[in-house]
Amino acid sequence: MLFSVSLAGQENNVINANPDYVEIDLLSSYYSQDGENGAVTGGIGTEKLDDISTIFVLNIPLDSTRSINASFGADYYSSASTDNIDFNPSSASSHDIRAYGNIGYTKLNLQSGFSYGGRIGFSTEYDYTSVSGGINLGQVFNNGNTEIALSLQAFIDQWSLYFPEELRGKVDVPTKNRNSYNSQLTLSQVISKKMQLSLSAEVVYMDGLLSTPFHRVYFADNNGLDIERLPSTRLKIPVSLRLNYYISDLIKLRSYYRFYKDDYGINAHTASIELPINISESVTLFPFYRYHTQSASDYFAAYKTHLSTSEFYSSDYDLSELSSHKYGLGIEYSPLYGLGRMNIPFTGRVLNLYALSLRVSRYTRDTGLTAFSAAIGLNMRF
Amino acid sequence: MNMKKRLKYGLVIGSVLFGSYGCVSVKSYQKMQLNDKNMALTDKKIESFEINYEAYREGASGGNGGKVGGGCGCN
Repeated sequence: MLFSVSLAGQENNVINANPDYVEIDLLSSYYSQDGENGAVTGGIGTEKLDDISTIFVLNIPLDSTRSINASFGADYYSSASTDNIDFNPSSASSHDIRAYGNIGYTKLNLQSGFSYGGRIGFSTEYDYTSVSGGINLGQVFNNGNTEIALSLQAFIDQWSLYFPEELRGKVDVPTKNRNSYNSQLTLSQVISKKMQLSLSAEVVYMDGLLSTPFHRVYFADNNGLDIERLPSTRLKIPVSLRLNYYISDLIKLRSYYRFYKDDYGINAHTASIELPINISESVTLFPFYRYHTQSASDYFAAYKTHLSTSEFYSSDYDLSELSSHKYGLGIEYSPLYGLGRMNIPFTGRVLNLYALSLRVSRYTRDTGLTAFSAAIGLNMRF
Repeated sequence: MNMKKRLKYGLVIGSVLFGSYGCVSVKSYQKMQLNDKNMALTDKKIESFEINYEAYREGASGGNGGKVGGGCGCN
């Protein structure tokens, strides 16, 4: 993030001090998808899935230079696809809950523009647990017009192994661990009074069980099947550019492009554009569009087209050649003096309901998968 | 022109353009428009759900705040 630069009264500071209020975001989302290329059933069959998510995001300033940020959330999903791990309809695998949380600490040096911080997190669901940690370093210079930020993160994950019903006792995997290591370098630059951009390069290295143990693969040559098999390491290199332009008080341009390459053979391009439009002092509309295209992984093939003699195989259409379109609309209502206020019992403080956001989107993939999502967010401060 | 060459030329051109602009110094009091919340060089919090779903549905995840660990996203 490019820190906003100090205004009157803070001219000796390169970056702004923390705000003097606690900020809470309560966000909820509904997501629904359908398609006919379920990976659990070998690339054919339902991909129907419904997901409801809620997350709290807190930012708590301890003083002008130190802050704690935290997020806690849960997803509940029902999936007709994972229900097919067993042949018994509506089995335990038809739905799951994922709970997750992160807590972090950030320290700013207002005069030098240097910042550092760290975070730890966890995520747990029925067959998968993850712990994570990371550090962030940032340096603002050039009178606050340039920032370089480095982020290093590690995720240490573990599967509880559940194989397709008919393969239990017949298949195994070498490990149930999955580790991911991310490093990201971001350069943010003010270009003019109306334009700023950021360039980001990331290296992601993964090792362990990178396939999904209950994905089936059906072969062309022997009428047999196996679970998905993928290499035990993966290197991903995404590079992205974000450019924002203040066209006028009425309308802004937010644009994004990403190139992606990995050693599974996937090359991808993603571009998106959003045009925030202020239709009044308190209401902003956000029409947006996103396009994504990727080549297929070397290890992907459709139902009954893999050979059993191959070392690696997958019929997961998330790894196939595909193009996707996403479009939608967001709206934010943020009156100058907030939506409302309420007293917080026993503290003598007042909670300000600051802004309300809604966002809906439609996603289509040329493999036939379609999805709809709607999200609502309430920003509060005290 | 192959992808490697195109990427190389793209980086060179990008660096020249970036370098030629990079030395401008916009004063603090000139940043009212850049400080607009819609000009932030980050995703909005409400977009986090969609980024999560896209990381599940597209093999080319990562590099966009997408999840590459922590929750298998295998459904």
